[in-house]
Amino acid sequence: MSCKHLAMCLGAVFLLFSTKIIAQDMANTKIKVTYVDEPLDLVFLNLKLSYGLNFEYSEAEVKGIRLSMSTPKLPVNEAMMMLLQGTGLTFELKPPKTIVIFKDKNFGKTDLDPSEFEVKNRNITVSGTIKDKASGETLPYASVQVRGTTLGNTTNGDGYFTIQGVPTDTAILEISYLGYHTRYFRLTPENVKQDFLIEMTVIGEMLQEVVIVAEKEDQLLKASSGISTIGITPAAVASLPSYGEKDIFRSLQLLPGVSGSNESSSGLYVRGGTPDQNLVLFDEFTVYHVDHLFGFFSAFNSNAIKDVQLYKGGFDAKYGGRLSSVVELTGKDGNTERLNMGLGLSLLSVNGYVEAPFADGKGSFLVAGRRSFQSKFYSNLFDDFTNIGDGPGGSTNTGGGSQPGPPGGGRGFGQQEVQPTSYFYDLNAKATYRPSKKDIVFISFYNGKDNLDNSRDANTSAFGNRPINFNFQRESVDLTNWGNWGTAVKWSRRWNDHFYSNANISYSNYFSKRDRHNSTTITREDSTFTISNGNFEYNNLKDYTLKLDNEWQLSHQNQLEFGAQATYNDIRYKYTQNDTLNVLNRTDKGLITSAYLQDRHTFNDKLILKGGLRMTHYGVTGKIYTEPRASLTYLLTDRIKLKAAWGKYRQFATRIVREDIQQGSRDFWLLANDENVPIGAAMHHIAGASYETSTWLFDVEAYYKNLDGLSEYTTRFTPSGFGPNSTLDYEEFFYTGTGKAKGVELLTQKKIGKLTGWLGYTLGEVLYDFDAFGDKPFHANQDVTHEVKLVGNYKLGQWAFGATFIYATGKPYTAPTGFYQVNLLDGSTADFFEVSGKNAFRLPAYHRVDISATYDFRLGRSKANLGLSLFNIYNRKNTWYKEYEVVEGELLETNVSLLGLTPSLFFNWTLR
Amino acid sequence: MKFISILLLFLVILFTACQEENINNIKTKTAVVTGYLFAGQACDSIRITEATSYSSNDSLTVTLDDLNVTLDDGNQSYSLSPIGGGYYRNADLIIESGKTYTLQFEHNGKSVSAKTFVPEQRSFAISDTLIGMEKIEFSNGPPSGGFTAVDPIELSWDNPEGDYYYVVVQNIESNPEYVNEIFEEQDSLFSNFRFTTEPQIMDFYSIDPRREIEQFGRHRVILYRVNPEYASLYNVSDASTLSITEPPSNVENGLGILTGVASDTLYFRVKKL
Repeated sequence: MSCKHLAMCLGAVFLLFSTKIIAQDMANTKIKVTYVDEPLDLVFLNLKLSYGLNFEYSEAEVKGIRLSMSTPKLPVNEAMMMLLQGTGLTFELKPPKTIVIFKDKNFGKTDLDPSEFEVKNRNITVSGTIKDKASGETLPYASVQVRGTTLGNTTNGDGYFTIQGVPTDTAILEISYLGYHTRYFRLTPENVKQDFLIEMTVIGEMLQEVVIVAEKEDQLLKASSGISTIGITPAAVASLPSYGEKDIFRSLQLLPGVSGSNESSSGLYVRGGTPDQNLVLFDEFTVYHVDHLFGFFSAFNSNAIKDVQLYKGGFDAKYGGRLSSVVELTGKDGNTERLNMGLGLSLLSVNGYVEAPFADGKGSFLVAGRRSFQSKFYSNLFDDFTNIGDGPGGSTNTGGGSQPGPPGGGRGFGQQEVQPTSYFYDLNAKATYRPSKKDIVFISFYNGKDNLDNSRDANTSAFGNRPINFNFQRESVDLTNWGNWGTAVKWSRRWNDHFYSNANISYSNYFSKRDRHNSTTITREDSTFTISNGNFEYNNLKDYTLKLDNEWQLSHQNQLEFGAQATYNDIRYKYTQNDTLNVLNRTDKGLITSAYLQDRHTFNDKLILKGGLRMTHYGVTGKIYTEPRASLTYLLTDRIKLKAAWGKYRQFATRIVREDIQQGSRDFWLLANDENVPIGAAMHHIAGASYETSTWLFDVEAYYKNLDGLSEYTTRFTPSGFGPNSTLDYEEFFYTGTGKAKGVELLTQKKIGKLTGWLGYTLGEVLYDFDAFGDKPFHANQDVTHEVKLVGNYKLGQWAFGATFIYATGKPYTAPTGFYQVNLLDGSTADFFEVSGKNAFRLPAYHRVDISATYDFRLGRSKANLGLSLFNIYNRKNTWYKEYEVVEGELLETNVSLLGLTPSLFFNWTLR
Repeated sequence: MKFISILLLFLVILFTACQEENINNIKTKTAVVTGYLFAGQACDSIRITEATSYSSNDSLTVTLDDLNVTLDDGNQSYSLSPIGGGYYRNADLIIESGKTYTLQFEHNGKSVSAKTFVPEQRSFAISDTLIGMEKIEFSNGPPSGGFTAVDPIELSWDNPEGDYYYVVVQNIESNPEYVNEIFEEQDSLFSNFRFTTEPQIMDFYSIDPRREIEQFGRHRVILYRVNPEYASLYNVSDASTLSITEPPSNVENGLGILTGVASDTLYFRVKKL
């Protein structure tokens, strides 16, 4: 499909999308009512005639209720709240124009008491905790706003919030959280005296239990909360098409500014950054490796996660050590109300979880696990990686196809006969305990591992007619495994309404091992002779971190955040060849100590300014690094927000990737030393604006990043020295350079209604400038000029349908521009390639459409869903990379494609 | 709606700008040197060709036969004469161990040069010059032969310097017979069996006859002492766009290799039992 055709299709789809804007925007309709002792059913009739609103209600419940009321022009939801106040009834808006009226079960018991509407106190402080009603999980980063003002806050990581300067003790709080019904909570002179516990209901739960429900924020992502910040709800990820496994990181790749054309990497390329430039925090510990199955899946089980926040740039002083972005994952605490469990099955893996309260609900725990199994689906993905060597250019170490080596020697073991044993698993466990109303303690544990075993043994004893004692044993070991261990203990304490502290201690370990060797042991009568050849690669990273974060609300205009962090890294990397030759052996140790201070100041309830400073002492260099940061948000009107951010970011630990198609890419981390490995630095400049209605969000952000201290790594056998003392060393080369990343992101999101979703577009460029690659800057590997993503979800009864479309300009690549042969000493020839300038060419455009359907149903009292997902429905052959070989004097090019049409099925069951 | 229209217009304009660069427009003219300087032998193994462009329709290598090529041993510069097929020689110039040689010529307005050191010869010992092996047969009744263990042939030499060595084993019979009958049927045109190792730092090599010897008769074993630049030819990453790198070369403004080599030769025979 040509670019123009794509654009036309996209435009048509988008127009269809947008014509519904007016019809569905009931929440934006304003109504005015004046009634004197009017029966409620007549009021509904009147509103139907005047504003075209439809009402669904039970006549019995409405009978006898009469209203006397006069209101100014108000949005429908606010007017309805006023109309139904004190009636014992509540409502739900059902777009496009229907309002469902039903009995409020909690009327008189909780929030609303008509006798308490008289203002007794002004300029008060309110605080409380937001929780999920069914599971008792606290909800982090939920938005709490005081209706009719710009006053508000978000809950912290423990679901706790404080708002100072609330005008009256009868104000209404509007609490919204992704995937939950937005809730309105009325303050009364009585209930403000203590902390609130506000419970939210997941969309799809029984509505009668909700006190006041006005809007359904049935969306997957929330992009309006801050600068370059996006939240997603793991529960809703299931409604998106997937291949095999619902995946949080894959969902993040559907956002503007995050590259979506990296099928072979679940890591995130955010605004021209690379995956190692993202700080990934899971329950406060840093995760260094986020991939399963060579990068097709992320290492996180979405059943164990309740909230995901992505900061695409300009992030707060609280976060440090990375150049590009922050992904903060909050694990579920476990159900504080009752035992719950679930099971899930896909073509790739089986997963399950159990959660339950203990100590009378003061504590809760959750254990979730996932393991892949050998299936056709798994094998197909696996083969995509491991069978590559059987294709053209299948030998491991030649310039071209013909290997100057012994016929039948060396790798003469028929490994294709071996059925590899491979799997991945991950396990999450978390226990949370609340010893008092002011304290929360949790311990969280994570372990995930990928294992691949291609080993085999051969054992031969001497036979024939010679009675000698002879034993010949050949062992072929091919073992690869990698994974993470992580654990954190966190204590949160609310000293008072104004001061909140979190202290945590964490440990994170990333390990990766590759053992690939053949060993032959010959035992004769009196001697044993062993020959071994192959290579062994081992990387082990340990991270010990102590962290203290504090929030101090000085006033309602002024909030101070400060804290400190100390991280000790111990990284070992070893690469050995043929038993004895240590080609690389690195040990990096270093202590990184940081402190930060940030002040958030609100002026006239319109302008929010944040200024912060992060100071880091880096043990390896012994120097102090300063990172100033600032951001502002200006509320031009209720709907229009202007925003900007600026900041300096540094990175001390760098991940090195050794691309290796034959053996799977290997990676390891190391600490910068500011000599051959520079300390990475980035300056972020971000400006943007958003326009938001209750139904739609339009958001635009532009970014410009100056990058310094970039390093590109390669290892090579290189002759060093000259003459009789010269050697061939396996050397590391760190090419260093600078870069620039710039771009514009547009997001149009439809937030509510049966059809929700978004259209995202990113225009971007990443230029690197490395002396080693020539005088001119070149496009970085991850450079994508245009990227369009269209994501839609449609709900129809118990069915949910999802569709995604991705279009992205092809990535740059380096190619052979010519080839030549060298005659070797034994008379054979080897082919070599003359190589183009760095990334001089570009792969064809990447595009695909995925669709999915999910059916929700009940199995007795438990819930279940069954789904089908079709990945790449028009079987687009997107090029992953190109391979080259010389055949009879011709240079042949082979395009290796990413996944074609891939169907997958899944089934999930939960007890409640 | 206005916003959406502008957005759409913006997208359409951007999409029309999609372009791809074309690899077929690139023509390469880089000189490629394949030069071996064998210690104690005349200078006759230097070949100069041109790299073939990706877009080229020629399947033959373009040879460069009209260059002014010189080889300098540090004291004197020798002129090399073209003898066709891209080869250059100077039969009067005998390559000496321990010397450094520099090759130089002009091509496409660039001065192409390469420098190498010629290592000392190193002799080696062989554990056995005669071994016996059973013929493996299938055609006359049940399979026979090949079940008896055969002691390895061990080659050893001194390598205190930690240099790279490279072993080539070659059958030199005019009409060799296969140890395993099955190969005779598959291979109607007899060719001499050849077996080579990769250059490695070693002072010992064990030939496992059952695995590594395919034919009966006389075999020549050449032990090459090679330089690191030659060994580097064997350590090249695969040819995919994910990991392609510059090829190993010690030629300035060109490609390929100029390298000094020293060798020693011994023989052994494989007798049919």
